[in-house]
Amino acid sequence: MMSLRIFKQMDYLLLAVMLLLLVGGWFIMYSASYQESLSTGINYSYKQIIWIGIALVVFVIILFIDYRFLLRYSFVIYGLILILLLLVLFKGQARFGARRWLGWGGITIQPSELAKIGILLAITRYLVMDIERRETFRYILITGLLLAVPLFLIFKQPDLGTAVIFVPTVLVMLFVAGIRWRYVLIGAAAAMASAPFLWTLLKDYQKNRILSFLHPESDPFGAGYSIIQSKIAIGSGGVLGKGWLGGTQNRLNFIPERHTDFIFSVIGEEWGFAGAIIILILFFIVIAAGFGIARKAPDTGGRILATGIITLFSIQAIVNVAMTIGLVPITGLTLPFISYGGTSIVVTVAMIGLLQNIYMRRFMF
Amino acid sequence: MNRRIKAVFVLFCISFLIIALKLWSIQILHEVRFQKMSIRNRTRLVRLPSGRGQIYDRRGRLLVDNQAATQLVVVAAGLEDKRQVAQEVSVLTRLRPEYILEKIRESIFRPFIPVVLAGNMNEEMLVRVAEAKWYLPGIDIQIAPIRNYLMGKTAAHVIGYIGRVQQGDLRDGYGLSDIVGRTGIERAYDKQLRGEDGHKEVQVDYRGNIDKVLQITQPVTGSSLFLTIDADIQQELYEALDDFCGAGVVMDPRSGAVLAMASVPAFNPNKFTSPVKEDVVSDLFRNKKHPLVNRAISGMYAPGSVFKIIVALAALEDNKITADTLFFCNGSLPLGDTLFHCWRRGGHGWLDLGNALKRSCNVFFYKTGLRIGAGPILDMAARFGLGRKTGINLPNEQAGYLFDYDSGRDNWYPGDTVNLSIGHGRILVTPIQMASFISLVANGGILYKPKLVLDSPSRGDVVGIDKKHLDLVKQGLFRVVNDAAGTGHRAYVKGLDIAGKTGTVELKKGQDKNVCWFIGFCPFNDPQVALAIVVEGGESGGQTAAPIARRIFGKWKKIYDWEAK
Repeated sequence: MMSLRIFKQMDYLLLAVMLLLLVGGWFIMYSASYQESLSTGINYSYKQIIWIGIALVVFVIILFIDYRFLLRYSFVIYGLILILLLLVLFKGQARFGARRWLGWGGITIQPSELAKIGILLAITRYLVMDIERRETFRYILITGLLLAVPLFLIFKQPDLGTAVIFVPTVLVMLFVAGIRWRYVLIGAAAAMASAPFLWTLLKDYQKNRILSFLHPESDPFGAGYSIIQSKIAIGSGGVLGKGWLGGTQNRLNFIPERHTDFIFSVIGEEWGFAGAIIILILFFIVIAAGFGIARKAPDTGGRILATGIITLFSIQAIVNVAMTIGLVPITGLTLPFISYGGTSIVVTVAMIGLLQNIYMRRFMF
Repeated sequence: MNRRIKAVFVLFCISFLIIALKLWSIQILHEVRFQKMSIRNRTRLVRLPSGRGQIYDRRGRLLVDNQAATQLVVVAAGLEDKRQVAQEVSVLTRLRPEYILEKIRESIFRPFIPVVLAGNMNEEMLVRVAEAKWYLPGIDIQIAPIRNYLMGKTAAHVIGYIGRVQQGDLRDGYGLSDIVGRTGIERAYDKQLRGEDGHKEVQVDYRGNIDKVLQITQPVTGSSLFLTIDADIQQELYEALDDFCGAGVVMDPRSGAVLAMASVPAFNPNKFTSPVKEDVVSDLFRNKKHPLVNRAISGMYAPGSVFKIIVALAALEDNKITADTLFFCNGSLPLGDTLFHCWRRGGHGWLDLGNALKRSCNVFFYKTGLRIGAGPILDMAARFGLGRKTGINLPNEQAGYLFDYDSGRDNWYPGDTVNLSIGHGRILVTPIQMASFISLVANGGILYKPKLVLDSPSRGDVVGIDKKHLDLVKQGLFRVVNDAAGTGHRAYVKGLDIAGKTGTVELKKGQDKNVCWFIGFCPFNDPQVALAIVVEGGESGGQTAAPIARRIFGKWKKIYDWEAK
């Protein structure tokens, strides 16, 4: 089928950085759930080890499946994803007022995470398939439809974060595929114009998050609480931080959702500016490597797919970190590699696996 | 295609740069500010209230102590739906839901400090709340000491009560939520009684649950206070006065120590234990008879005939009359167009000073007063402490009123002198002033500053009065009580040599709505107890006030006899 020789062509820096982020992330996860584990006896980080293990197995499996093979069957995968998303809407488990999870036995998965790969593959497949029409409006319209259907289902869960990062990601993919500049500008304008319409679709708590982002002090014990507490945590970390397991904002539970959405606040508090910057640099290396892979991909499909993957990854990482320091509203996005969440870890590692997959095959035509 | 990929990458590079700069700003530039916020976030200063000192009477009997009360409190930080909680607590406690909501709102800026909803729950309410507590987060029961005034109404004014600090007291170094003495001894000796609050610095989690104690300063319990008050005499005085409206002060003339002080109508200080039952208290404030006012030190009355003692002393000291001076009373004295009457229309005939005091003849003192003039009388009154505060350590003492003759001479008429001679007109005194004054008569000329605390030093000024003159007046006062025809005979106690003077001030002609005085002391040869009684709206000093004095002297004799054995 394929020669093991191509493994020598893997991006080992990317692999190393990914492993570093997984390990570092695991330690901060341990700290974030330490206090709760004292009373419940369960530390999320132990469960996370299993998920990291699963993720690495999936990573290796993905390397063996040529991305071109995946692209060929991408519409099938897309269909399966739609079915899963529909299942979630009707049969999913609700937590914190959102219906995002599907469970069988002891395992729960989050189909909106799985959908990321499905949507990226299907859209790449279409963009390549119809590449001659890239300068037409129809090209954009069909891409938009391919995105809109699953996105609507995700939005209904509601999972605002995932929905929000996909729009710019697909715009970037269209841009890279070569649509006209004026469509790029129109697209950006349309996205902005649709904001008021989207506003009416938002749930109250989502509106509150955006309002409290604009004026966090207006309701310090309500919606603005998270953002204030997160900034206090990061700011009080100073240069070197309060030390691992030493963050008071973390330990005394002032940071909400600190093992998922606000994990970066714990990093900032316990490892300080130094730790936060190191984590940021590691992320930056991943992103730089990702874009490098996109440029060196052997075919258009590889290029667009790699661009889509790394864009999605980058936006998620940037928006998550920006949210913890008050640069963007709270959206409910996790920090790739680090936040707790089984499906999220597996899908993120799998996406990096896809990047490696493309990279390893860069000399094959 | 690759150029476009590069362009996207550049966008992300810029994003990273912005994030790094923001991190720099938060973590390096504003580190100190956020560190302070983090510390404020997780540390709380919990006040450890000091126990308030107890109050005892002169013989060590407990007058005021502290009781454990079960309080219903609400912690605003723990509440989810304020309205619903208010509704449910209202059902449990029968407190109005609006009242509960208001209390919750009060605490919104100090969300972790419990606010008291009910100060002292009865057993039934306690059980109901305890059963419901588990589904009412934020509602809690706490044990707190409350003040227990064992004498209740009996010693309400002199002991006073405590309450939440008021605006005017804040400058004295009190905190916003401090409980302080508001009136009486509780206020005057607040610093000794309150002790010093302790503090506990604790680290808390996001819900305010205590994680650990960082630092602790133990409270210092307030010191106990032993009063000069004798609980038995206090009780007797209050009961003797209870049917009337008025006041009484009983004093030891040898030291100025106050043995009893009462004012009626009184109030129950236990009603002021927090939280205050507002309707009860506002009734007290609105009551037309002013039950909250301590008439013994704040009530100002014309002295009436008790003032004749001062007129007599002024005349004797000025050598204007002697023991043998006689004046004739035919029932009235004409002056200009006006006829000044004696209380006895038929007149008293020829009288010397002793008889004039005994029968309280007005005409005798009209003539005496006119002979010496207003100036020396007012001077003498001032020497005896009238027109200024006695300096007793209680809040709200009034100075009374004494006409300033030196600067107001042009505005003074002979008729004023006649009126002044019998204690009417332009003069007002307080019962405590009268008690100090009669003590001075009893002890031979020392004006003591009244005192309330047993081990505080006695401070007295010697007022230079000729001993012979004092003795002469005292003999007259003896006859007031001990002669069957004396106006104060109703104060007579068998086996006790009592001296005294009555006074009646008519407020409205022909009605028995008079200010009735009795001031006196005993035993005659070795005075140990002096008193001043005033009743508003009684019949006369002899009819109304003297019997009250009699009860006090009688009570004092019983204690004295018992102690002698």
